[in-house]
Amino acid sequence: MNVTNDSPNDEACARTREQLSAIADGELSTSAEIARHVERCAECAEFAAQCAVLSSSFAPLRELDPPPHVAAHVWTRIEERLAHGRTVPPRTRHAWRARIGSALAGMAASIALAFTAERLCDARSNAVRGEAERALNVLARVARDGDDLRSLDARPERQLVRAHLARTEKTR
Amino acid sequence: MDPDRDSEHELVERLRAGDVRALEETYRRHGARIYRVCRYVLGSAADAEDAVQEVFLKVFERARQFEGTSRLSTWLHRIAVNHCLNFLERERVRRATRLDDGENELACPRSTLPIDVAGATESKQRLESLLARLPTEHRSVLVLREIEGQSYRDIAETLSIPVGTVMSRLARAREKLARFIGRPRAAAQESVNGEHKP
Repeated sequence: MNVTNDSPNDEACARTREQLSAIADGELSTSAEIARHVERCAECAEFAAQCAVLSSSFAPLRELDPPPHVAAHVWTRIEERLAHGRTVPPRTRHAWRARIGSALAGMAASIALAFTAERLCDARSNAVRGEAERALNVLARVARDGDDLRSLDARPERQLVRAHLARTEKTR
Repeated sequence: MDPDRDSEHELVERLRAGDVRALEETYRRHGARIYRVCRYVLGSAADAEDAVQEVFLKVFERARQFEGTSRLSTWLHRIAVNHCLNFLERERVRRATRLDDGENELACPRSTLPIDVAGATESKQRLESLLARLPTEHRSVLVLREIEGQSYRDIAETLSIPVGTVMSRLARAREKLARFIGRPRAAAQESVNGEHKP
């Protein structure tokens, strides 16, 4: 492969593309060397064209302003947090969604809890009973905290609950 | 005399003195731009709302540390981008430590969800989704350049990196974005693979 400065190769192409990108931003002037490279390298020529297209495609994103009610809400929260200290969480709509999500996860865990309790009553062997009791404790904690099963920190706990629920599903 | 500069100097002095109305004025002048940066670096409107709160609270707490060697807007952008990058890193670590392989499919971050980019009808949404698939360091420079219109020098100052690094990251970001647009499936694949190159 030819490795002169203005001939296409990985290194020359990488450098030329940095320059083409800067030219598209008006941060660099073009040069004879760049022009020669682009003339010989179809990929870099295509990149130069793409830079211009990409830049114009960002135009709609530049127009984004937060909706007035959001801007006002954010400032209200800033004032509240200044008054009550940084320990107060942001509590945006996102946080409310998370709470609803947690509540739904808690409900799901409660349903699983009911099935597990039923299974516990039917358990005949001590091994199955022990597993069911441990799974029941984990699920009770998840339901109490309104948490999601995915948030369980310990992998054995997750595996225990999964294995137990899978077995419960099979025998139902 | 530059009246804008004088007005900014006065605003900074009031911020340093702990004047909440000065913070409100700063939010009124710069809030929308900071929201945009957070929105596109984080890829989520809800996270951006939280981030804007944090940024302006930090501005108020750290106003005394602002030496005035850069413009107020550059300092605000620096706090915003650093906050967003730290937030994304914390989220990445949190997910990596809490989830095993079987759960990643359920709870992978928004930026790696395998959505059908080619099927998106709205070009703005499509561009947003592709932007979210870039590595964070590439996304940050692209947002500051293409959305905020910052010069390379300002971006370098905002991110505390050399101008040459701004130039190379922008070129890499554009190459990736152009490749994603040409081959939408590559976008999802590269982000799933966690490609992070300078």
